[in-house]
Amino acid sequence: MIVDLIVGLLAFLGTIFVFLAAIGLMRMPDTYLRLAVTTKAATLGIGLLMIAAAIYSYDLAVTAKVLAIILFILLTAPVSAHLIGRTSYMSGVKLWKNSVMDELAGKYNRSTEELGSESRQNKGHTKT
Amino acid sequence: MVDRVIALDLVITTSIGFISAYSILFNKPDLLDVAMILALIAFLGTVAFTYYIQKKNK
Repeated sequence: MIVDLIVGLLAFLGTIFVFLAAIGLMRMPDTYLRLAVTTKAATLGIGLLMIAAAIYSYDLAVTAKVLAIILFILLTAPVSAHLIGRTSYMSGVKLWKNSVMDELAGKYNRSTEELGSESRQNKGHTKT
Repeated sequence: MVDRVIALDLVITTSIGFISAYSILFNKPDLLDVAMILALIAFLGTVAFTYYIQKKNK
């Protein structure tokens, strides 16, 4: 009885978070904002849904499988988000016009594909 | 171009959630193996697509 209630609540919250990720993918104005919304909300939603499945089944094998999936997603979601963000910055995707700051502005040389601090590059230029 | 990779990632992640909800609803926990394979494919696909997009821009 109360286990069903807990399972239903967790599955409902997980579905809500996945739904919010889908809405964010459609309505966010920028690639980077879309990336942020999608990664974080979908990871939390999947985690909640998986925990609901583990509690519902009440089985050690299923719980181990669910924990493996959650651990794998928690490990790989930030890595893939970083890869997508790095690729989109390096291929010249513009930021949203109301974005507050761009910490990499002027530090990425697109012709030589070097990413470093601006002062070090200037020092190298004056030395040569 | 990069938005499509994000959308593919979200589609696969949503299908993992769908499989989880299906396994609760019809009491079939064997389907969670498929969810694990899909999580693996999502990561590998993202890495491959970003690699080739970066290579194309050089």
